[in-house]
Amino acid sequence: MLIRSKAQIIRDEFVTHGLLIFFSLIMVFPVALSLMTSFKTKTDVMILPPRFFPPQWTIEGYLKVFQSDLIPIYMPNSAINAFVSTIITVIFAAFAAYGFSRFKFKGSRALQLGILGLMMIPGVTNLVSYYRLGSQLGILSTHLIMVLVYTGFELPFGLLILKNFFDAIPIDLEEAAKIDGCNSVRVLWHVLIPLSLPGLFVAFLLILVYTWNEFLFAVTLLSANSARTAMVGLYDFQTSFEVAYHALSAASIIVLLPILLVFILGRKTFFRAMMEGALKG
Amino acid sequence: MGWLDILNIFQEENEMKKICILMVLTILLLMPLMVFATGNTEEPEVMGPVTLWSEVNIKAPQTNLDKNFAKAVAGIEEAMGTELIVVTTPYKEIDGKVNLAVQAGGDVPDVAQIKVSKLAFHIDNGTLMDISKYVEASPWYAGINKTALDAGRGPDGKIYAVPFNTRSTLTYSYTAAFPDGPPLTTADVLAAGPALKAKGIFAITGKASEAQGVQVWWWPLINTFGGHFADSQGKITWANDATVKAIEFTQELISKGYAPEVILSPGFDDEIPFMNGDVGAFNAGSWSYVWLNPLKAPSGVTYDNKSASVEEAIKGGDLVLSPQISAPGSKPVTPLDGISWAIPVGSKNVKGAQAYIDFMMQAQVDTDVAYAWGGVPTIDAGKKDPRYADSVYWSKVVEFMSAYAKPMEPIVNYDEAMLKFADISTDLVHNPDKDIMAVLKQAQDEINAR
Amino acid sequence: MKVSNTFMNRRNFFWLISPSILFLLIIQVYPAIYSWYLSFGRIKGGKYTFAGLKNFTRLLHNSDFYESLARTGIFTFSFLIACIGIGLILALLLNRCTKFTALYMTIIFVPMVLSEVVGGTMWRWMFQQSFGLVQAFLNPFINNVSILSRPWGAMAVVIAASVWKQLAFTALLFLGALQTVPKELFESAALDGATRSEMFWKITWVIIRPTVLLASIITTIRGINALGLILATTQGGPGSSTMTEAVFLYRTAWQFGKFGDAAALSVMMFLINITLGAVYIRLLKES
Repeated sequence: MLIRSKAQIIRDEFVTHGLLIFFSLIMVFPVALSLMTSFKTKTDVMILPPRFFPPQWTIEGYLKVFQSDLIPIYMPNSAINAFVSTIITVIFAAFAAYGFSRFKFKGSRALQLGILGLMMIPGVTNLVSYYRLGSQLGILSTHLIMVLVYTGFELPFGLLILKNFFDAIPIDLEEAAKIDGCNSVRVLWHVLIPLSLPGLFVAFLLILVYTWNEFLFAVTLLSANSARTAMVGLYDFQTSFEVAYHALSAASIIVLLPILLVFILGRKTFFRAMMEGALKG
Repeated sequence: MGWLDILNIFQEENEMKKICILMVLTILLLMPLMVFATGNTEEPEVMGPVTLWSEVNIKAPQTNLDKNFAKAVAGIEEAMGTELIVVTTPYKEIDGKVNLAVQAGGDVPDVAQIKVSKLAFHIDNGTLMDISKYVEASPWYAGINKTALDAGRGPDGKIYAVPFNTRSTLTYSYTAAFPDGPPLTTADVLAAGPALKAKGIFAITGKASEAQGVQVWWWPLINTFGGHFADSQGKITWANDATVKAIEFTQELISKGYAPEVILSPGFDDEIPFMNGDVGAFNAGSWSYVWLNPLKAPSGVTYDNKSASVEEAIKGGDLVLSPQISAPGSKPVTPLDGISWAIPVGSKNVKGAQAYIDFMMQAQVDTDVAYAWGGVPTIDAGKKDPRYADSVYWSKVVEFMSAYAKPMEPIVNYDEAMLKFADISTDLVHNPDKDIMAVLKQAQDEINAR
Repeated sequence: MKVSNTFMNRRNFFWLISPSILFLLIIQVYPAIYSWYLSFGRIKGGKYTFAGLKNFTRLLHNSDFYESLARTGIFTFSFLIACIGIGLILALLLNRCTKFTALYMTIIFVPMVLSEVVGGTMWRWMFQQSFGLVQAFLNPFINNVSILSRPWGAMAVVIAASVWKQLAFTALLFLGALQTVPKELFESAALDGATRSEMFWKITWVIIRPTVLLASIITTIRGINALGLILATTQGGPGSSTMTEAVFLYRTAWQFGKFGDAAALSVMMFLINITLGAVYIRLLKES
């Protein structure tokens, strides 16, 4: 019964949008709560009964954050670690994914599964090795070690995503190009990359989110005040003594903004890519 | 794309060439990143900079702790003759990081801020240096409180850390809820329960969950009921009648509604009902005063002066301090905790670390720093400082600490044991129909077998 | 030897994958082997002493190991069902939408962009016994029982928080798959007199099944290794009630400092993961 009466259509629209609004509110509620907390005074955070809106709007939380090193030092560190490692990961993963996608050989499946299997190793286990390695090379507390670790860690995921995207790009274009006598590099540049750009962006964004938000490796492998990342820097507002909830919320919101911005700017590309049926398994 | 056309000359080779070029470019790109290297790998010729891992942030002080610490160490670099690098580390991660650094054989700080309750963890894993000889020969050795120093010893009697402040537990109670005097024993608490409940107030609250709960709630109760948590070898002995009584007491508190459920919740929510005047007594730590503001007494008066609220409440007659709740007929016992300075194994600048500790253990500095961290100085002279001697709060804390506090016995697999006990105690309180002794025995055997 | 009609051949392939393989060898494979080595001994004060299979036997006698295995199962299963189920519902709803689709999707995606530490803290605050808004809201219905202080409550919150964070991913994947279903199929099925649910199962489901498989695999891996969010929300729960294998591993390595035991645990975890993964894939491929 695909033909619905006008009344039914309106009712369906109502239900659909109603449910979607409900879900959206749930998804956004904790963030909204954090946002409200960031505008409360220190004592208002814990008044009873708990209130959603600040009884008294104030920016003292934000002022505290501005007085800390979060913006001048920690966030740029996070940015460098995140962007550099994500870009390198995407490039390497793209090469490998392209290779796996186009070149079928006997052990291909096994090798791919092996690489995927690495995703199942929790990060904690590798801490000792990383610390040792970093110490011996003298690169602890530098950007270099974070980039190395993040890249190695996210490569399997990038490979998984990008291979799916490459599989979805019909091979005919490349074949045609070769028949036409096109040089391989030109094919790559003019044909393949534009087609895979959406997929590359998806991988870029997802990996960026991970590296920006990563905590465990950042807190372990970085032991210098100038190398600290934003996530670890959130602890500036929590000592064993007092937790400045309002400042912590403010800092959380501020730390969230850059990635949110990247996402909002690229959302059309991102959604189109995810939905162009490319990721179908 | 002009330059690509040039490469047209080569056929299949460009694919590889381009990739090779890209790889080389990437590596070249990584080189400048090494410029950002800020690892502390300098080798000290005479005495290089001293690296400290601590939760304070003196570069951009945020909290009062930061500011007070910064003030206290104002002259340290001159006194030591070298730079002090304070690496701000989240307090929950310091121990893990130090342990990792030592086990991995990597970069280790010269000196670290270690909580006394975590010393068992470090000693078990061999991360701290034995500094007995240094301590006994140091200029401040004569002036340090020997019980406090014992807290820094391992089961072998050697000194692994120098506690610079100590903390213990005690009881806060509202005079409005306990007009005849503060509750001193478990029986007192139970007796006062019904009347308070009628008024809509709980009798007592405190942290009884997680590892800290084991330290501040269970361990004192077990000890005053006549039992021991562990024996002198560090093996667990908690499967005894005293523990059963402690658990039954807590069960009664919850089932009869004399204590809020929140005492078994993770986190520190147990303080909040007391802050709001909904509970009569609070099984507190000597550090709790920092968190208890604003303080609303059941008498109706509110004290809202940040960490001075408790002090003012005492002066105002609304709050009274008494020793840790104990079993009837028993002397109170409270665990001695605190914070210490320790030198990890592998420290490259031991002389510097010792110079740091020498500076920090000067009477005035120790007092300032101990105060900043909400504890009692371990240098006895510090207790005469007006901040302690003239304060109604601190003078009582010092009195109780000297009389009743002792370090917990060394426990093998300390963290696992604490977590295990926290688990089973919470479970037992929530499920009164379980066989207490059986559960205790099973857990005890399991931990001892590890 | 088959002549490739694209530019892909053995040599190019080698060059394409070598940077990745190099990184993986250094950053993943070498530490894994070192971990294997650690699992056979104890490391104390920086010195390693060989201990054979002691870590493994100790682990297998540890009730926490089995309990956290069970918890991991419960957590991952619920996580999976919720992510797939609710994700599918969301995708279906979004698919029927004509306006505001991008807005909804953006909002639904926000939790994913948050860090686990921040997100977990937010959920912890919501359920804070005293000043948590959701706790306060629910109090009249549940007789003031603090949700986070109960094992089942803490587990529920942790699952909810994890699903909340991951939902956008599955929803978007499914939405993409749904949009590839040609409308004509529905029309001809309607003409044939098929009911709504028949149309869903026989048409939509068949087409999106591969995507569901892919989403399930990624979600399951995420679920088994979920760590940051659980730590930030409950730190393993009241006691150990939300201690999954991943949390147990973290505790052993970080809070107990026993890297040898942790290595043994991670070896066990890896083996279990791999077995489960293989079983999973085989089952789903066959059906």
